[in-house]
Amino acid sequence: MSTTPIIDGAFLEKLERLALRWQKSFPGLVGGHNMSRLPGAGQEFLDHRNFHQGDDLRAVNWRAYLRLEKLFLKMFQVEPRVPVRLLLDASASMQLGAVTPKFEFARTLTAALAYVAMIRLDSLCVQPFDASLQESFLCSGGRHRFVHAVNFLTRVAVGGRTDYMAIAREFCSRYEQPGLLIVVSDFFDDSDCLRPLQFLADFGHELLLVHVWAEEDRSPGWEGQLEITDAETGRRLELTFDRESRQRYTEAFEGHARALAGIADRSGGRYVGLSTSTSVEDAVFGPLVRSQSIQ
Amino acid sequence: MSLLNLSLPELLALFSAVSGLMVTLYLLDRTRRRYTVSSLKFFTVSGHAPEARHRRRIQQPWSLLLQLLSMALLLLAIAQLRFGVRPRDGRRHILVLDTSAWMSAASPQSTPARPRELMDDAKAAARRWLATVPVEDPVMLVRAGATPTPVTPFDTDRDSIRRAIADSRPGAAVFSASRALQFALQTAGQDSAPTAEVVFAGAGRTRREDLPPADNAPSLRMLRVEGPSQHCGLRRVAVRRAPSDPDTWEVLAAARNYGPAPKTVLLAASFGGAVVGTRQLLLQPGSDQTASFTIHARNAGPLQVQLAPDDAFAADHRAVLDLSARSVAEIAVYSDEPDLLRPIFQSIPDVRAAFHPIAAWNGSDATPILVFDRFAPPRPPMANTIWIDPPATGSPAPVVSVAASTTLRRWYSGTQLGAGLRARDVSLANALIFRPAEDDIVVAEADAGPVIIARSTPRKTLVLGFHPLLSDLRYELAGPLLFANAVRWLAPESFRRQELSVSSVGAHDIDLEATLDPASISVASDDRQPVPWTLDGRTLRLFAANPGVIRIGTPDRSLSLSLTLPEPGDVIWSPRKAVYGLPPARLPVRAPRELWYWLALLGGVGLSLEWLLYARGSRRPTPVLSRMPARRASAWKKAS
Repeated sequence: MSTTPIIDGAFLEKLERLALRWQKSFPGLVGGHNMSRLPGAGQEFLDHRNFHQGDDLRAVNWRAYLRLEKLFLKMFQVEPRVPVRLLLDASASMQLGAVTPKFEFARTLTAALAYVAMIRLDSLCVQPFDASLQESFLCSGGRHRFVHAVNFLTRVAVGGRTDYMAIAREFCSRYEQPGLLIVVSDFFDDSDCLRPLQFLADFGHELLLVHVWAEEDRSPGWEGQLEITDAETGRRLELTFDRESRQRYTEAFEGHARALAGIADRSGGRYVGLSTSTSVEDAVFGPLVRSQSIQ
Repeated sequence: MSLLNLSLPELLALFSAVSGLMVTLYLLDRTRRRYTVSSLKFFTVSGHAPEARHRRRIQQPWSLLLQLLSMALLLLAIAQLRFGVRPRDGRRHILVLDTSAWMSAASPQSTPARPRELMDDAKAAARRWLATVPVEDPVMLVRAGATPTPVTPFDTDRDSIRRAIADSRPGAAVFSASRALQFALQTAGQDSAPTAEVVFAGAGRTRREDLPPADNAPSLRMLRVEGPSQHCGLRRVAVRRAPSDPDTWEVLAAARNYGPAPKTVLLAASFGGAVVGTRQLLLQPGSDQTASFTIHARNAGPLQVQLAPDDAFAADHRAVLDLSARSVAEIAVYSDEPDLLRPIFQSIPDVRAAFHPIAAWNGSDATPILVFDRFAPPRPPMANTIWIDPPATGSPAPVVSVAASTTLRRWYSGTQLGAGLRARDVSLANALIFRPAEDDIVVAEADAGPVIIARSTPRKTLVLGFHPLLSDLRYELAGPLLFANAVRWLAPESFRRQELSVSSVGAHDIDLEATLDPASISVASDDRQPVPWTLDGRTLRLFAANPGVIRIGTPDRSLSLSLTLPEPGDVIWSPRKAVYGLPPARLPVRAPRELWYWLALLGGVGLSLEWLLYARGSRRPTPVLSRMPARRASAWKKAS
C-alpha cells in the first residue's frame, strides 16, 4: 500500500463548492441535493392538480378552496438521492504512462469525484473493473465516509485485460436502478467498447465518459523498427514506424475519441478527454467544469 | 609523407579497434527496439509491416562509410600526418651568451655617432650563427654572467630565440667560464640525443680562477667578440673612521691594470665636490696598486674616488660613497653636584652631556639617556636611565636593605657592563642592597648583596646602590670604566665603528672582529630585505648576484657594502679544442607541411554531415505534440 495520500487536503477544500450535475431525472431516495422533475415529497413547489379520493389532506391548498370552493392538491418536487456510480478501469493498460501512470491519475480523479458526490449526499458506488467487475464500494452521502472510499481505492489491484461487453452485462444485471454512470478509463479494448457503452446508455444510465490517456497513447514518439507488446494481452507486433505512421496512428486515436464523444452526446451524456500530463486539479477545474459535468 | 605521433601499425591497430566498435554500435543502433503499449489497436492500422531484411545487414551503408571515413581522418590528425621530407632527429644546441659586465665596454666598431657595445657584437654573432642552424635543431639560450641562467628551453622556434637574444643586456658581474661550461655540459648530457653543441658568444673575459680546469667540452664552438685590450679600473674602495680621531675618515682605493702594457693613471678623491687628494699610480700589467687618503669631515657628504683617463670600459672608473656624520650620545645629568660627574662624562668620547639641577626636572626631557644623581623622579621617564644612589623609596629596583658599611666583593666581568672592572674590597658606606628580578643583570655585588644591577626592559636602566664618586671607588680606575661601559650599553649605536666599502657583485668574505653570536649579526639589503649569509669562525660569507648595497651590523661594527663596481675579469677564455667561428652555411631544409588541423576539420565536418543526414531525424524521439496539426488538436479537445 502506498504511504503517500492519493489526494491532499487542500484539493479537497477546493472541491467543497462543487457538485456533480446530470441532465436526466432519476427516481431515488429523498434527501439528495439535486433537483428532479418528479413529483413527490419534497420542499419545492411543483404544480397543482385536482384532489382525488385518498390523497393526503395535508397537501390540499385550502386558500384555493376558500376562493374557488374546489379542492386542489399541491404537488412538490422530489430531491432524490441519485445513485452515482464510478466505474474505474483497473486493467493492465492503465499501468502505463511515461509521466504519470494512467491508473494513478484515474484513481485520484475517482477519489475527487467520489468526494464531490459524498458532500452532496448522493448515493455513491465505486466499482473497479478489468475483465469483470471487482469488489465495489457502496455508501450514502456524507464526507465522513470519504476515508473509507480512499482506503478502498488504495487497495484496488491493477492488472488483467478489459472486456467492456462483459462488464456492461454484469453492471446492468447488478445495478438495475439507473443513475449517473462515470466511466474513468483509457477505453482500450481489442473488441469494440462503443457498443457496450451504448448498451449502458440505453439501459437508462447517464454516461460521463472520462477518457484518460498518456501522451504516448495518443502519439508515440518512437520511429524505426519496433517490436511492440500489448500490455493486456501480451500479443506482439513487429512493424516499421515512421512519421507518417505516427500521423495515421494519431488520426485513428482521435477517431476513437470522437466516437466515444458521439456515444456520450447521443445518449445525453458527456465526454471528457484528459491527458495524464496535466494535474488532476487542473483536469477537474478545467475540462470537467467546462463540460458542466461538475459545477 | 610521415606520421609524427603514431607508427603505421599503431595507427592501423587503433583504426581497426575504433571501426570495429563503430560497426558494432551501428548494428546495435539499428536493431529493433521493444516497447510495451496499452493496445495494439491503432498500431495495426498505422505502421508498415516489418521489412524482410536481416537485422545484422548494413541498412544505411553511406552513413557507416561516412562515419568510418571521418574517424579515419580524426585518427590521422591525432597521428599528425605530414607531407614533405621526414626530418632527421635534431641536434641540440646550447647558445651561451656572455652577459658579463665587460660586455658593456665600447666595441672597436663604435663611433661617436653610432655608439656600440660588445654586447651588440655578441648578439650579432649569435644571430648569424642561429641562421646557420638547421630548422629542426632545438636551441637553448643561456645568459652567462657570474651564474648561468637558461632563458629559453630547447626550442625550434627561431623567433623566440631571436627575441631572447635581443632582450639580453650586460650585467654587473664577471663572466664565470667554468660555471657556464659546466651548466651547458650538464644540460647537454640530460638525454640520449646526439652530442649537443655548446656555442659561446661573447668576449669571454673571466677571472683566472673561473677558467675551466681542462678543455673537456666535446663539441664547443666559440663566437668570440674582440674587445679592447687595454683597461685600468678600480677594484675596491674601503672607508672607515680613524680609531684615533672620530672625525677623520681613512680611504683606501685599489686600482688594477687589466691590459698587457704598463699604464700610469691618476687617482683622485673628492668629498662634497672638493678634491681632497690625488695620487699618480703606475700600474703594471695584471697587478693591483692601492692608494690611501685621509679626510677630515664632521658632516655627512658624498665621497667620490675617480680614475683617469677613461678607456673603452668606463663603468669601473668611479666609485661614490655617502659618508655619514658622527653619531654622538646625548646625556642629560640631573644633579645638584654636577662637578662630581662632569669629568667622568667629558672623558668619554662620542658623548655630549648636559647638566641640570634636580629642581629643573619637569618630566618632559626628551634626551635619550638620563642620569639621576641621588634623586628619583615621581614617575619613571620614557628613556634609558642611570640611577646613582636613589632614595630607597623611589628606586626602580626593589631595595632589600640599606647596608651602613659593607665591602664590594665582586664584579661580574662576563657582562657587558662589568667588562674590564677589577677593583675589589672597596669599602662602601650606606649602600642600597637590591633584590634583582629574574631578568635583571647583576653588575656588582657586596657582602650584603647586589649593589649595582641593570634592567633591559621596558627601558634600559642601570641602578647604582651607592655613589661611586663619594666612595673609595673614586680612587679606582673601575669608576670611570663603569660609566663608560654604562653609556656604551645604553647607546651602542654611537660607539659602532663605521666602515664603507665599494666592491663587485659575487661572493664576499668579511672578517669579523671576534667570534660572534649569529643572533647579534644582521645582514640586509638597502631595502631591508634579509640577505642569506653563513658564518665560518670569524669570517662572514655572503653572495650577491645583483648590484646594490648590503648593510652588515655587528655589536661593534657597521659595514656598508656597496656592490656597484663591475669586475671585467683578468684573462680571455680561449679553449684550444674549440671550433672558432661560424659553421659553413647549409641549404635550408623546408619544414614538412602540417596537415593535422585540416584532417581534424574534415573529420568533424564528416561526422556533422552524417548526423545531419542520418541521425538527427531518425534516432531522436520527435516531440509529437508540437507536430500535431492545430486544427485536429483543437477539434479533439473540443469534444472534452
